[in-house]
Amino acid sequence: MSHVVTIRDIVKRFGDFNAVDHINLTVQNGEFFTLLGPSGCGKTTLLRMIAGFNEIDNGQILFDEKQINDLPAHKRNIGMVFQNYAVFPHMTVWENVAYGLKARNIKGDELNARVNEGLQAMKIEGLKDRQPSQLSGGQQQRVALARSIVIRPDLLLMDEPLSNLDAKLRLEMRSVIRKLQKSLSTTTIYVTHDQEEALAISDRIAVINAGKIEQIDTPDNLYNRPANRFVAGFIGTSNFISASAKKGAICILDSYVLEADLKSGYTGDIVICVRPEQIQLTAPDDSQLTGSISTATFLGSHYEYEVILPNSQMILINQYNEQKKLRTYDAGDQVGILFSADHMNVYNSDGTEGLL
Amino acid sequence: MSGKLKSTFARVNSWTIVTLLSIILLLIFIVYPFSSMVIKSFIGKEGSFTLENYIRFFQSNYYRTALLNSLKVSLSATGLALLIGIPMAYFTSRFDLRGKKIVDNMCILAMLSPPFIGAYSWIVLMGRAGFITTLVKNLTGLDMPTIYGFRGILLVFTLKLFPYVYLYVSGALENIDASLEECSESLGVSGIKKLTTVTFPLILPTILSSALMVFMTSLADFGTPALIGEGYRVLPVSIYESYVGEMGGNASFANALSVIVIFIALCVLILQKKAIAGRSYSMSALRPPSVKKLSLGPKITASAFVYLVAFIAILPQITVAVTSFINTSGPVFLPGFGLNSYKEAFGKMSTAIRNSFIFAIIAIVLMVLFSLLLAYLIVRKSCHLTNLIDTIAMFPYVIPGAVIGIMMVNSFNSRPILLTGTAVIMIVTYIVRKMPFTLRSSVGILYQIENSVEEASISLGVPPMQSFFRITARMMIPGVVSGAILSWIGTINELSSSMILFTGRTVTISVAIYQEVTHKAHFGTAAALATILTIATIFSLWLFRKLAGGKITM
Repeated sequence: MSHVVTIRDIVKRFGDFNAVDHINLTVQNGEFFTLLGPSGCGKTTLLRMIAGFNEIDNGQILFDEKQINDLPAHKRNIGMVFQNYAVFPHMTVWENVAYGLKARNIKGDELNARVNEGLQAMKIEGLKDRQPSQLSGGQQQRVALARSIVIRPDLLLMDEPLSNLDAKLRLEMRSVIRKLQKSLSTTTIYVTHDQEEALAISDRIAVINAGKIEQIDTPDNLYNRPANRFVAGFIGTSNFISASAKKGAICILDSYVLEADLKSGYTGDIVICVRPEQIQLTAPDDSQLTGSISTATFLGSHYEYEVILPNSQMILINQYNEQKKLRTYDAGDQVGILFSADHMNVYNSDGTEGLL
Repeated sequence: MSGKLKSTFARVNSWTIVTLLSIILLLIFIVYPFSSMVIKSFIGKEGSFTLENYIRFFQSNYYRTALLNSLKVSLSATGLALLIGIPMAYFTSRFDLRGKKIVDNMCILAMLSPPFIGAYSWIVLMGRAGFITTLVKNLTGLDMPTIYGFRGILLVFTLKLFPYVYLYVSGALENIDASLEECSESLGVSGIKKLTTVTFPLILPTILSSALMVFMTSLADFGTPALIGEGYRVLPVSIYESYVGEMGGNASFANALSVIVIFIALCVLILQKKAIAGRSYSMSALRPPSVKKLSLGPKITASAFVYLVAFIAILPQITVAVTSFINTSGPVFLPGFGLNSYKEAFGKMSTAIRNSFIFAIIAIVLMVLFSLLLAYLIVRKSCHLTNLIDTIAMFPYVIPGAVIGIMMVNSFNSRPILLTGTAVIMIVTYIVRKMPFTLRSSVGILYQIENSVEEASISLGVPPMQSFFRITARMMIPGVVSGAILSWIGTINELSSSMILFTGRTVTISVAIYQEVTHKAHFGTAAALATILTIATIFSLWLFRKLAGGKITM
């Protein structure tokens, strides 16, 4: 039995500071939902309020139709996975996985069957008699996952479960968690500060900053249509260039003009945002906008160029060079810069509002 | 509004009840006895407010001398213990001397028995009719200088307490990462300069903590000056005597004396805290410091110093053990060995032996239980209230045993809580007095355990209090044990508060030894009892280590 989780106008105060500041969101049944934001943004605090470890100062949390504000943590039937694994160090792997089941008075054959099921799902049957101190970080996290799913929780909460693992294991466990969640279809709320991880793993993501939600959307939309400058800067890499909007057109650095219709015919100072891979480099004569290469870095799949614009601003441009058809550039080369209005996002001058 | 109220009630969980219970217990057994002692010290014979008790103290030469003597002997003992303990720690941890483990164990052994047994052994060795005194007299015809008085107290305190300095400081020296001292050398600072600018400042907080321990113990000790001090008056003995003298009265002068001692101890504690503030560095050596090879001459000299000191420190234990097997008749040692003293001890003193163990076991179990719960409140539910709970629970650390004894008798000698003369008052006193060690180690270990482990248990469906005992408390035990050992040793050896509280039915081994020595001069029985005590302590130390999975050090 999985839940729809509704967060209504939730506030958490620490002294005068609102760690979570009037947040509203709804997580659909079976959805993999991620709370993403820089450290200190309030995402973990919100997760812990859902888990029942932080008190709620204002608002409501509903599991389906039922308000659970005052339901003690141990009665919420939540499976929780922690950053530091939180495996019980004085119990074997088997005992760890059985712990929550025993608390539910499950005994004998059923206990054995369900523990084994969990161990198998996480591929750790072979480790069942080990002490946690004999396990690697990845193995410990598998134990923690097995322990949290065998109780058949109504909701899975994960608090940065991958951030203590090394880069390679992180990718492996990321896909383990994704597949596990899809096979269980248990509503899952996942906290991370790693935007790439969030994009890879989630059905939807809430980007949180300073206790407030900046945008809730699918990974695709977040990347391609970030709602404001913060989201554009936080997810992936973005070049922000000052420009001005006239009727039906955008003029960049007084030279490069693109046709674009802005929201409610907005005119005035704006900021445009273009991803590094959506800019083409050409000969200087082929574009109204030129720059000079300051650094060229080879990164295997692509070249990354730092290019200085006429207004001295530096932007990043990635050139993917699969068939070695593209010309490569050296520091000091003059280049033309091209991008289309389709690949661009436009914000008002303080970056708080999208204008497309 | 009703929603708010409802949610406040929902938040009342088992920890709220623990908090309330702790506050009630602390109020009854620490705050009430202490404040009533302070209040009574200001009450005159007619029951009105007066400063006469304090005026009497400062006007009387007799008590002023006791105060000055106390300070003199405590400061001297602290200085000497540092002078012996620090070089010893440095030699054994930085030079390749043989048998550091043996020296460590000798020092632990020296700490195990209470100071007054040291005093009594030194009397047996070097007192008026002591073995060494007699031997020297027979061989050379010379009289040994007297062991009684200031000199004896200082000797006993120093030898009994330098092991604290030694063990603390060698622990700290071994925790300095090698890179720090190497870095100093690569910057061109080595030798003595390196010692004074890098090594010494790093271990200064540890030195000050061990100095505090030595000072407090010397200031509070009753048994040693009572046995070996003879005419040399110090405050704990004065308190005891004026309390016994005032028995039946309102004991207001003993109360005033007690308040003065606590005041001094508090001042020293605050000074020490001030000196340490901002200077404690948490260190754990990734790479242990290098051990220097010494050439033969210095090596022999250093080894001789270290082993000689360690040997003299355990000489009382050896003396006690040996004399317990010598046949005696009253105060007189007879030729020949036997088990008569033990027969005597187990026969006449079986109540004392049984009491000692029963009281101490009940006390240590409760101490560990309370410490676990209080540590949880202090660390996990940190707020002004729990900080206050911490301060109150730690406060008895600065109160000498005799004073706590008087506090308890004063407070619980009438209804509604009539406890005087019972085993309960002894056990409560031991808990109040010795729990600070266990509480500190519990708090220390809990800071190192991440909250998420317990939260994992709660989210798996186990209620908070059960989660605490099944997960957190289990994980704390190895860390708690290091403090519990100190509490246990202190409890089973406790003399000063027991002297005030005991009755015929609640006599303990320590009290029995003291009485055998002072009232009856039954040295044999006393030695047998002391040996039983020491063996029991060693055995329990071994048991504690087992319990902690071999992971603890003193």
